[in-house]
Amino acid sequence: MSEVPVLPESSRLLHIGPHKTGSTTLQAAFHQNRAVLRRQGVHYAGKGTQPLNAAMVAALGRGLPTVDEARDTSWDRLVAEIRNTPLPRVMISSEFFCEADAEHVRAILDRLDPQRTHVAVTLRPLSRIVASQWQQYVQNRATPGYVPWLEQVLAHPDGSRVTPSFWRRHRHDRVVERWAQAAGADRVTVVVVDESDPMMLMRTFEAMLALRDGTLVPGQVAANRSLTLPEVELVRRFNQLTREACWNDGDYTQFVRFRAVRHLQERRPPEDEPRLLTPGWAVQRTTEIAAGMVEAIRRTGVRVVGDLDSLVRPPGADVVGDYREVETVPTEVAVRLAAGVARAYVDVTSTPVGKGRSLGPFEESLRLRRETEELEERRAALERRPPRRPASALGTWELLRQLVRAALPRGG
Amino acid sequence: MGVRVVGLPADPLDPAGSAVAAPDGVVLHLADMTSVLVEAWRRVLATGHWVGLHDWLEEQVAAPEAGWRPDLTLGRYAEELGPDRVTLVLGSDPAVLAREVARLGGGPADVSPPREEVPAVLVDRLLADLATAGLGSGWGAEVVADGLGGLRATGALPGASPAVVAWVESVSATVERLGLRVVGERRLLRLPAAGEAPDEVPVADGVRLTAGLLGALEEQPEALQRRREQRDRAEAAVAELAGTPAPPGRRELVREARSRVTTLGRRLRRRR
Repeated sequence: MSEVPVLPESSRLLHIGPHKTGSTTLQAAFHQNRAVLRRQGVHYAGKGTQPLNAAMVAALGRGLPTVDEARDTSWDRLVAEIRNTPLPRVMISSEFFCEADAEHVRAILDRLDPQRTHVAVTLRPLSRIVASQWQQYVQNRATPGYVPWLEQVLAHPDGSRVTPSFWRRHRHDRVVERWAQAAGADRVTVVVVDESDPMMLMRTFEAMLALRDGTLVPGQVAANRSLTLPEVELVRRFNQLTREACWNDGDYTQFVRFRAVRHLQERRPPEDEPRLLTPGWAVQRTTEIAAGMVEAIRRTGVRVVGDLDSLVRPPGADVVGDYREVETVPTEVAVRLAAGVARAYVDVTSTPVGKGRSLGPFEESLRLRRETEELEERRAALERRPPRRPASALGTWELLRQLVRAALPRGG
Repeated sequence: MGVRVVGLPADPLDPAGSAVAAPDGVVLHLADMTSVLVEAWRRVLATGHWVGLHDWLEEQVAAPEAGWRPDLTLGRYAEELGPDRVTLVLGSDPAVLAREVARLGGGPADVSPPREEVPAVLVDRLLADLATAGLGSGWGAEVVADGLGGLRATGALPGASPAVVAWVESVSATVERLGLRVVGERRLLRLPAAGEAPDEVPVADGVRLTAGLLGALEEQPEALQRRREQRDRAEAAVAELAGTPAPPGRRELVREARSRVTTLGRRLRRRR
């Protein structure tokens, strides 16, 4: 294990995830403590918890399905913001950076200035990642069940046809190699998350950015808990029903991923509600794959903070167990999924379309319907107005009536 | 559900029920009392008026004549045509309805678009959740009502008061007394006994709840084009109306009045 490197002034620390390695908690801590960070000379790039869309554009060449690709300047704006900050250190964090291929990695580093950029990769055991990553895919409209998905993905660790992004994100050795080759091994630090010490991640990033101990206070993470087994199964089976013709990925992202699933996550499930467990055979397979990855990471010569060997230790009973078919779901779960969608109908159409948003056909239809109704109401109100004639065309009594009305104060 | 009705208003029965005219009589159709009641309540939401299902049911009990009464509608059919020419089909199997229409010499009955069948308790709980979101009335109530139109709520109605249960019993008893030919299970005329609201529901019911809501609001691509055109027409109409000249202002009115007084004065002087 290496010492935590303290980055010199004018550095840019680029945290690339991968997904499901504690990045949400870390990002929330940076976002919610922006003012304190500024006072200590650190700018946290972006406006929200993470610059998700900008990172997707930088790493993959395309952003969220809800964003109009032709007008998407989010990455350019993020780069400009980073270049223009007067503060000595910048932190940029998004797990989507890890998905960049070699060409995109070089392009990202070129934009951020390779001489000033240091890359941080956070890692957790693959055996702990698979379940939450499958859940995430389900929240992105995937339909395979957990066990068939595990069988497919774990049989092809060099790249699977099912959810191909899984190994792009979680061949951690290849992620580290790609970035080390482009940035230089001395500019990459792997941080192995200590499962027994939730503050370890915060303290490591504080040290790298020369922040005072305790600056990063973990705050509220907005509704990002893992779904319980009944919750995720309900979403997955619902996915099997959504139809392509009237409903695209943009609609799904807007109504289900961003709304209905979050409404589910706001619920506090009872302790005894079944969690998603990974079968023993799959845990064993992930451990074998992880062992190979750990050796490959060692060979890259990058700096490692934490215990690399912990990535291949067998997980505890909170992770391993038989996967059970779900026959029933709590009534509240069924209601919350539907209510989240119904709330979105009203919420989404109550807010103007943001700059650069791309509308799916379902959302467009709802918005058109509301706009038409509002226009019809306006039209009816306009038609109720008194007839508009020039004064010379008015009869004497009408002229007198309008004169009196004009002379009276408003409301008189 | 397509409705071809002879001489009597059909809307209280449609689409929770329907009336199909045939040469030798009329076939009336009711799914079951729970779905009929929930559907009637949904139509109130569709007017933009946000009212809870149970509150609405209590209102029906409190004003039995003014409220919504399927027995009265059925009674009017029986009176108009004679009870022997009225067949009441109970249940949600469209094949039975079609068979009865054909038996009376009628053509194929229109079949309603499929609805997702869900336990009524889910619809009730869904509304409770939405009420906490402050959707209120107007657009929120209308759009939720349209979504609920993709669902058919069946089964017990946990939370229904004894007065509501008794009211439904009286409605059912009146229907029975009409002496209509009834096809299907008569128990569907009554509310199933409601125990405690279940803590869990089959996962398929949960899926149907969301799928039904969405399905009712989905539109085919050609409908989307029609919506765009509708919106454009409404926008053009508003622009045209808003662009018409404003009513005369105070100054113009005063000038006109002065001019008329002057003219009148001249005329009067000339007469003298």
